[in-house]
Amino acid sequence: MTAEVVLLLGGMLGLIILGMPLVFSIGCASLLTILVFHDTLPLEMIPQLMVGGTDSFALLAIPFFFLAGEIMNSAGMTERIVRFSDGLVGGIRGGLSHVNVVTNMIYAGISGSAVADAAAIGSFMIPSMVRSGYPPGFSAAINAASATIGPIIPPSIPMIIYGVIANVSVGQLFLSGVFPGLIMGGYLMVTAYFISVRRNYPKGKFMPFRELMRLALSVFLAFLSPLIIIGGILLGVFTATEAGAVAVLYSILIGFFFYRQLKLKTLWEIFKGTVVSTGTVLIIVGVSYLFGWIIAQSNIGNKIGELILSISKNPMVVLLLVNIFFFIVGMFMDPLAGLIIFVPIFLPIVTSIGIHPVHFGLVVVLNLMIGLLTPPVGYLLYITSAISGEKVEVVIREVMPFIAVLVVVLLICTYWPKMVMYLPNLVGR
Amino acid sequence: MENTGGSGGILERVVESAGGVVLAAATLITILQVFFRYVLRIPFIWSEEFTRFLFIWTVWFGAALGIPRGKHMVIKFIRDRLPMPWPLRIKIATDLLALFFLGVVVVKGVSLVQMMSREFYVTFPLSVKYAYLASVVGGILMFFFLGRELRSTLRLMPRKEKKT
Repeated sequence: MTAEVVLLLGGMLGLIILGMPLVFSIGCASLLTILVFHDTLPLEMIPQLMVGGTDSFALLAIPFFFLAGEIMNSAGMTERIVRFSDGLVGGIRGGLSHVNVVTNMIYAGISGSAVADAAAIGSFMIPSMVRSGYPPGFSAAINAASATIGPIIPPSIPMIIYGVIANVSVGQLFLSGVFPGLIMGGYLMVTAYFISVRRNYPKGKFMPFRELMRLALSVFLAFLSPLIIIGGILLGVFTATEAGAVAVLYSILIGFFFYRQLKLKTLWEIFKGTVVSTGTVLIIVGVSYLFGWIIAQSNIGNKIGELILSISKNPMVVLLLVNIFFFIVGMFMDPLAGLIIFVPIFLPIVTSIGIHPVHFGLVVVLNLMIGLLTPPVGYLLYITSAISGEKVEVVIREVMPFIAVLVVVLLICTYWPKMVMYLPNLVGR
Repeated sequence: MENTGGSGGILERVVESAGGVVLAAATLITILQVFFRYVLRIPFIWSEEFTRFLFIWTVWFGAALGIPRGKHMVIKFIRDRLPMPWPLRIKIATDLLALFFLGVVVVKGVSLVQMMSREFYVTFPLSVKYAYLASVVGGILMFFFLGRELRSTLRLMPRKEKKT
């Protein structure tokens, strides 16, 4: 069993470090493990699990939220949100770093992907921060850290996947992220403020109230999007996937008839572009089902469960141990793969000691989002480093204080379930 | 990573358009599903299963296009710090391994399609084998695009000088 797990996990990690695309690293490690340890198994299970892993109506929400975000971006929403955020918080010391955080918080209500947000907002905000005198490393770091809010404030792609795996209400999961997302934003802004004061970063000007209100009206439609999504789900009008499709329709209508910046040709290009972003994300989901299947066969889940429960049955201690485990997973693994492979192992353990699956979902997703900031598999670091032109090592150094405060937020969410569950409990299942 | 044009470029555009049409159809059907159920009170019974079918094809088309577009998630910075020609050697080795994996997906996918030919969707008259066919078509496309990339990498390898 040990040799099997070493080949599977070690093989995957080794291939990732050697620069093999993640989907093939997971697939090849799984295939080699099957050939060495399960040579009697029919290999037809490989395409079967890869197709079966994505054969889900709930997962269809993912391309819809990608589409809605891209359409809103093309309709000029990102620039409007940045201008509004600048008017709102640009006057504080380190103004543009706060603008970055607030923009990410607002944009999180449209998109549900940290990676997509880091690229969309970063390509706009990082050059702007560098031009204004902020070091490229810091600009990349604050953008990467802020992008982790994307999948916490609803909608959220990892939460949709967690909802499918754990069979819990996606609407409740979405609601569980509202307060933690706001807290993350607040903590990141406070940290950016102290760094800015110490390094004497510039500040802009507060916008006159009337002009701010005018801008607020123009971004009001962006605020409306998450309300439509969550409201529709909770009122039972539509499922999370249908909410995604409605969000696409909503963004198309806004783009064509309100902002009038969207063109039919652009819309077609967005659809074609979304096929690629959907395929590259969801094929990892498919191949992770194969990987997870081998993990399940190796009985490692039971062994980990027994080990954790032998240390303590106290929910707080168990949550701490699970958090440490997922933090390490996040350092080495893609969040979606981490969810698919390890949630089925830990969910029965935590629910058996009375932890609510929605609370657990929020904690795991937040933990894995922090993993996007930690090397060696910290995608947000590489994306923002590429945009800023700064070395990854510098971005890693600059992002450390933000990782520290996000860990504090993670601990708050872990040990204050009432805060996380307040909104989900209001609406029930 | 650049689009190399030629037959591969045309193929990319065809796959991209096919994927766009499939995704647009899934989006439209899902919007109509809400409208017909909630506004007209006429629920579709086939729409969920059919959009799932379309979604599988979207994923495999997109995964295939991700190779020439360089959109698959990858950590290259450790490999790229090694002295030349080691990054190229490692890329060739990992590409060959990935091609082996894709070969298994395609060959076993064909076998799976044959096994599933008598299974049908519940709400519309189509064999489930057409969903699994996406892994064969997508796998072949990925194999082609990755093979093309491997050929380009091989051309970059420094050649040994001939002894005179």
